[in-house]
Amino acid sequence: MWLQRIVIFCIVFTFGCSKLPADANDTLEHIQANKVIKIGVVINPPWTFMAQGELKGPDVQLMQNFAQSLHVTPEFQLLGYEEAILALQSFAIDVVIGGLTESIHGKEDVGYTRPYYTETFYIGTKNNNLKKKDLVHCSSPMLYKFVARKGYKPVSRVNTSGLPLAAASWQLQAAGYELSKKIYEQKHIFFIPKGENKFLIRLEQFIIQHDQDIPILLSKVANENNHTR
Amino acid sequence: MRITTQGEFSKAQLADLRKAKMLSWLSLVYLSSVAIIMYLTMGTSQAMKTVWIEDMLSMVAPIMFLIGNAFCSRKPNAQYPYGFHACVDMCFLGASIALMLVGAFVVIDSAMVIAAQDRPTIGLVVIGSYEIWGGWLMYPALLWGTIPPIFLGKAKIKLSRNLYDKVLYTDAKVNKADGLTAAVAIIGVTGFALGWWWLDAIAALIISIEILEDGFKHTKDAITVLMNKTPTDMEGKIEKLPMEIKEYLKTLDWVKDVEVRFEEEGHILGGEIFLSIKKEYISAKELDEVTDHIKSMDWRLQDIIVTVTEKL
Repeated sequence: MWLQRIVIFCIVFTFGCSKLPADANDTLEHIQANKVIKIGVVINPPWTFMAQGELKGPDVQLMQNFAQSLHVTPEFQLLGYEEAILALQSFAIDVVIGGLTESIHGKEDVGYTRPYYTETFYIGTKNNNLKKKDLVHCSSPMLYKFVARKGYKPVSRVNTSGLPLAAASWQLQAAGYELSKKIYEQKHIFFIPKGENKFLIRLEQFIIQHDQDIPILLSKVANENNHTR
Repeated sequence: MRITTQGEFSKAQLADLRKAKMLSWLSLVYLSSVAIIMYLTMGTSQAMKTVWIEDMLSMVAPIMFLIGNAFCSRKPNAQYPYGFHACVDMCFLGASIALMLVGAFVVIDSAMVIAAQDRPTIGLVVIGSYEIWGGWLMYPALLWGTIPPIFLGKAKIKLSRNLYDKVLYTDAKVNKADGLTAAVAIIGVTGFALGWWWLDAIAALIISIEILEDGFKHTKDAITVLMNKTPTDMEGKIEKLPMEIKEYLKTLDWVKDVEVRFEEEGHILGGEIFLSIKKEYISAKELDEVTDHIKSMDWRLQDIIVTVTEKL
């Protein structure tokens, strides 16, 4: 009977309390009190990169916008990937950016957001004439196995003009390719410390409200730099 | 070869058995729905994960009950002259060992989560145009896991006593435990909503210790039954029936002394009764009359041998 009373109390209390959920380590409160959000940056072009001594990239821009929404100042710190994980675990930083994906190793050691962007990879052609066993130029070695799985021959030799190109859809569209065959998809996330649910909700609400920002920022990167991986 | 009679249940008991089978199938459907809902809502909460594992494990008992009863209703034959009653005991052992092994696994898993200070991180779930924190969805999932087992368990306990079925009784106890564990998990979820991440892990540990404890107790009971321990009731207390039989036989004026030994054979009791008599001879008819009278004392007394001996 006492257990039933505790359960009813728990349900009524939590639903009645608008301030829940709380952060286990008060991350959002600290950010708002100190007026600073500490962002760990893993360099991973085109998501995060240095250009003329300045940190740039869609992830960087998104975080600057998020900091603005909280009325705080973003403080970026360049870190290696493992350094960033350890810094998150010890609450030395509040969030890690760098084109991180759902399939990345180490995700289980930290908390992470819902995907803020789904990057889809295609084989692009200029004339939509793609046949099985065609040679396909891969913009990145990571696409080799996905191209091969679909029955095409991945290559990366120097003279690839005229060949179909395997790359992200935003890169292909900026270079004037037609999207012929989907080969792979990866979802991009941010890392946060584990247990900081109030901070996570705030960040995810921002992600949902700005879900159209990343495609615009990526096409800007593609057009400005013609950046391929 | 003398083959034992099939016996087993009366008409009223067969009706109870049909109800019990229906409740078992209903339990399987219900537990499947709970397992799916828990899986979809559990996120990274250790308490929710433990409840999910326990709910899936709870399906073992009704499955074992259905299998055991399907086999034990087969007629005894030359290969199995004692019949198939022991299937029920073996299914009881199978269900109990499964419970114990998984209980041990989740205790270790939960302890490791506490040691690693693993904190549940639950984000938003978007349903239509509504953004809901995933933790709120755990409450209705857990309530769905708390309330129906209470009714299922109560219905099964009554039937298990009528049928003297320990697998069904174990299943009823597991249903009751399901209700309790979901209640503990609600406390755990409330804990991490408040930022007390450790309450989630502790709730998981409490639930897993309870699973292990139940599994160990039932495994011990199941093993003792297979080792021909003297019959016990559903709660594990020694049955008074053998003593009652002994007392009855001592009232017969031609009986000098009597000893009995019984064992459980699934739903029924088998046993031998040794009589030391005052007179020189006793006819087969008299022995049969005594045997029939003893069998009429309890429906479970179906495989009884009464014999006469000089020395007890």
